[in-house]
Amino acid sequence: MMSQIEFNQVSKRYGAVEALRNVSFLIEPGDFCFLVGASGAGKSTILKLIYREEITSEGDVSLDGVNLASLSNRKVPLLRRGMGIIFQDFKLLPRQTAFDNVAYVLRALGMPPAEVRRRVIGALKVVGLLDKVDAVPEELSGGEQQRVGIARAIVNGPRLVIADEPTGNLDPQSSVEIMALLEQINQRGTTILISTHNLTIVEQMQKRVIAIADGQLVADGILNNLPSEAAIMANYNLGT
Amino acid sequence: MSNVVQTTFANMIFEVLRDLRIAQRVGLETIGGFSRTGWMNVLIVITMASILTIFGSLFLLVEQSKTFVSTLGTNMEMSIYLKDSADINDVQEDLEALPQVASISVVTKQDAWEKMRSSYPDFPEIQNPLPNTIHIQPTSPAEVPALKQGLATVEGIQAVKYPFEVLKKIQAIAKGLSIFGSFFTVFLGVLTLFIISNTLSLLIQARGREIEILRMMGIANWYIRLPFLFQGILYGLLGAFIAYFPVSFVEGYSHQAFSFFHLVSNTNHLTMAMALMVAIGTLVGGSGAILSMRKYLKI
Repeated sequence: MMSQIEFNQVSKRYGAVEALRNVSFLIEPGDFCFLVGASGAGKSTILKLIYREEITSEGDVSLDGVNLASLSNRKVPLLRRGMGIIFQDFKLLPRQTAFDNVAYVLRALGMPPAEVRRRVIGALKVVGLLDKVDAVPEELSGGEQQRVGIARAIVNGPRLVIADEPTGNLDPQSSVEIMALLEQINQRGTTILISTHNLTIVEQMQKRVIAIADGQLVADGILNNLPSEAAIMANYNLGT
Repeated sequence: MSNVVQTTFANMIFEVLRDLRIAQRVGLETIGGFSRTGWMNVLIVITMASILTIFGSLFLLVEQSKTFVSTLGTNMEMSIYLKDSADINDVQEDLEALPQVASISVVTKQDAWEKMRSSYPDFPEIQNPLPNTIHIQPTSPAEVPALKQGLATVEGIQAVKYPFEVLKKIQAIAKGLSIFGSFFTVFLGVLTLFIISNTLSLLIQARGREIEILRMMGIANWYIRLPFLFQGILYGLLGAFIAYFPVSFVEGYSHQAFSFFHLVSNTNHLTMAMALMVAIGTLVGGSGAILSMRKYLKI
């Protein structure tokens, strides 16, 4: 079976700064992966390469067998429609309701209003916010705002969801709830890739971890029975 | 087969409806852009209307001057006085052969003398001193220099009288007005371009979050850019609409002023000016939008 995401000897340089060095890994359809590493380790660069915000300096990044470097700029929007992206700061439109925030992209794609309503209500139901459809972001807690962000990411039925520090602005309880929600979405067959440095969450979830340090892949595997956050830090050299 | 046709037709209808919904969204985004720009809209439209008013007014004045010169030139006759020894028919034939000559009228020395005598019955009985005269009209004032050269080759001409210097001065004024108008319009155009570009840049920066979301969710670049482009173009059209009123006033005023000479007959100048104002407004507004997008919307 074809891997959903394939990094093959990928290096990325920004001028003289080498953000990634010879990084290789595969992510299969339906995987749930954490991308961990300290700030500046190269996590964001990996995500940017996947959603084709950047292209590699060396090596190849493929998504469903398509080499992203060969993808024309015109086709990038199509690529992105096949994935959902979740942001640390939620990136909700402040003056629009939860419903309108989730519906925004569907409307921009010219979807019929009835279909927009069906999908948005469906997505808000998945994230448990059916009672908040008319609330604007400032009326929602941080966790609820992130749920709206997740609803927006899944409303178009993507096969891949990328989350960049989704719990970075949340309290521990909301973080756990968000992770449970992402796991629930994963169980429906959607591939999930989460960039984080919240090792407590990583430890609790017991999922595959791709660890990056100084632009290099330092570990790739499922964490089992790890004693503590400190041990993970020590094992994978993840200085903060 | 009929199923295939039905499916194709249904797909076509679906796509048309989808495009209409997208167009509606782009329209709403454009209106939203105006709403977010606030009082800067007024500044931009006033600036745009001012530049188009100045351009339109100068254009009208230059065009009216050109028509004035042209009408004046063709109405002005050149009077050619012949030598006594010259055969009037030969000279007439030579003149008719010149391509710059539009029309000819001949006044023989006898006709001129009789006319004069009838005007002044008490005029003393002397020998007719008047020469044979041929009046010609040039095809256009611009042909006058060539016509003068042509006349130099015709035998039997004693003298030519023509108010050429006056015409040259009017032509020079029209040309100066035209050059000044062009430079001033370009200067104001660049200024307006700068104002529109910077205002829309601020708007793009203010909508940075929204634009980032749209980009990440796979919305096509043209969808993000079109509302800004439409906003810029609408500034131009609105400016042209407002400028119509002062420019039509200038047109009426100048028409009246030139009408005093009973010379100007062209009434299409306002239409031409409006068409150019709309074109320039659209161009400047659209270019301003494109400039701001190039600077702040690298997608």
